[in-house]
Amino acid sequence: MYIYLPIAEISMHIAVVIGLGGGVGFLSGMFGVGGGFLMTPLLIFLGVPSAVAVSTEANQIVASSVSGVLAHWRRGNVDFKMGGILVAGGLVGSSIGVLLFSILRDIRQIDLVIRLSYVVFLGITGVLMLMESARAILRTRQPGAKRGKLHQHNWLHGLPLKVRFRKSKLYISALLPFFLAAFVGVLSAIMGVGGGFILVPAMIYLLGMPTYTVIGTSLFQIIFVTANITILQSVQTQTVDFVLAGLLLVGAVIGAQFGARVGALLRGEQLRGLLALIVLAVCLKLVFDLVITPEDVFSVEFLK
Amino acid sequence: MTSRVYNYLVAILLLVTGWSCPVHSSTLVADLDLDQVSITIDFNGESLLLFGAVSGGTASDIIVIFKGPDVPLALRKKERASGIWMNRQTIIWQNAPSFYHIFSNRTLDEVLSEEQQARLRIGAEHIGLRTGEAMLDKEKAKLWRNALTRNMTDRGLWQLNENYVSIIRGALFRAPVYLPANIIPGEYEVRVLHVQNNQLIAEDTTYISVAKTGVGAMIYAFAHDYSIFYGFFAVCFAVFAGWLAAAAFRKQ
Repeated sequence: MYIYLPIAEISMHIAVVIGLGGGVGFLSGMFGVGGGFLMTPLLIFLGVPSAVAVSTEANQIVASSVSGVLAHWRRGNVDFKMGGILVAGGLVGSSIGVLLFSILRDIRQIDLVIRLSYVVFLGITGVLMLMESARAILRTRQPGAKRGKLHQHNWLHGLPLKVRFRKSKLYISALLPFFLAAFVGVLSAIMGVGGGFILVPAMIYLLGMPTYTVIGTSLFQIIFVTANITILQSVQTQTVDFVLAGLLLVGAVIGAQFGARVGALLRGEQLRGLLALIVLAVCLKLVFDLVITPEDVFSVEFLK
Repeated sequence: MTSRVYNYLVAILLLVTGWSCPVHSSTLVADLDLDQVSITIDFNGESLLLFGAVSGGTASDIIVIFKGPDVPLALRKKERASGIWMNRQTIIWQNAPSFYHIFSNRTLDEVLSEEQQARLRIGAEHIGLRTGEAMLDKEKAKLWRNALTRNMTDRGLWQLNENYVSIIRGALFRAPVYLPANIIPGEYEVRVLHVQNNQLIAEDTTYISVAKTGVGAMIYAFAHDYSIFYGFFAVCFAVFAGWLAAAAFRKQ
């Protein structure tokens, strides 16, 4: 059965849409990531206009983050004080991102910028994650290796406006999480991702937050950032297709349940290593598409 | 479907019976088996049947030109810049047909000479496509026009369907028409030409409208006319769906 997506204005088989949601949902359940970095490129690859893919994925991430944050909230693993500052930064950043998005769309370079952002940020996080997990795997084979401190303080933590975050056991400048979230917010708006794949490592290594508060707090923040993007894109470009988002979600919710079960069978560093390989594979595919000579150097676009 | 076939038969019957009026010059009547194409939520293209009859002579050659609304189109050319391919040149076509299918009973060149095709404005190179640019030189204009035709053909929007019109006993003709899922709404024009010995002897034009209807059309209108409410609605919907998903799987 085909469905004509009202905003994307294309016809897709309903099994393809739900299957896509299920596949990406499986991986996100397995690795504990949102999966936007996989979903958005796949939607574009399937013929969804890139602007619709980015905005619709923001809408879907609102739903998946809400369903993810509830469990963390119940366990008390959301640092609302830190979350509040991250939300403030994220709202500023994502608003700038949406503005930037429509400027780039007007000068017809949005596709290129989306692709380049993916290449750069997936490349960096993929390589870092791969190195980190390789080190962790090697370390487990050498018992007796020294463990580092809980977190290292650096000059960034000493910036003005220091705030105490009890839940995360931190006393650092509020400017650091604010600007981190603002930066990730810009990327969220342009790339159609929640930004967890940048935010989570940055919260651990840059802010020095304990791991157990990081996931819940980042999910909490991502809800607000992607909700902001959904509303702003609805107003500015009318590219949010909630029918598409809803169908993807159906698949994603079910896929994530199975993914989480498979993920429980593997060790943390093995999972991170595997995720790093997937991230790098997506990155390489995008590099390949940018570099090889296209089949037809001409392309046509309907102007409205 | 049966009612569409029935309509078709009734129409043919009417055409054949109403045929007795004494006409000296040849006339031609054509129609489609649908009055309107609706883009509904389960739309995935639509098959139509074009049919008609010729009176006052035998139908020798029939050409059908099925044309969608004219739209501005941007044609972009990628060039390699520091190792990556990016859009570097753009030409805007101001009045390109969004859909342009030609049907004939034999190859178009057998039916009409190149000069006649140009005079009757048949084919993408003869419909007076305008660009927003200053005059391109002839060589370059041809390159860009061919690129436009190639891209539109790849999308199934421009097509030359030779040997698609069947002529029955020299009087009736029919042609299957397929409108793909990526057509745009608007008024579609169907021009039917009766040609004999490289000359046009009769012509008829009919129209069919393609419109979005039903839930899909409502969502589209909501998103465009009340975009801020649509945005809030999309967020509320997502929050509710996320909560529902979490609740559903928590119980198990």
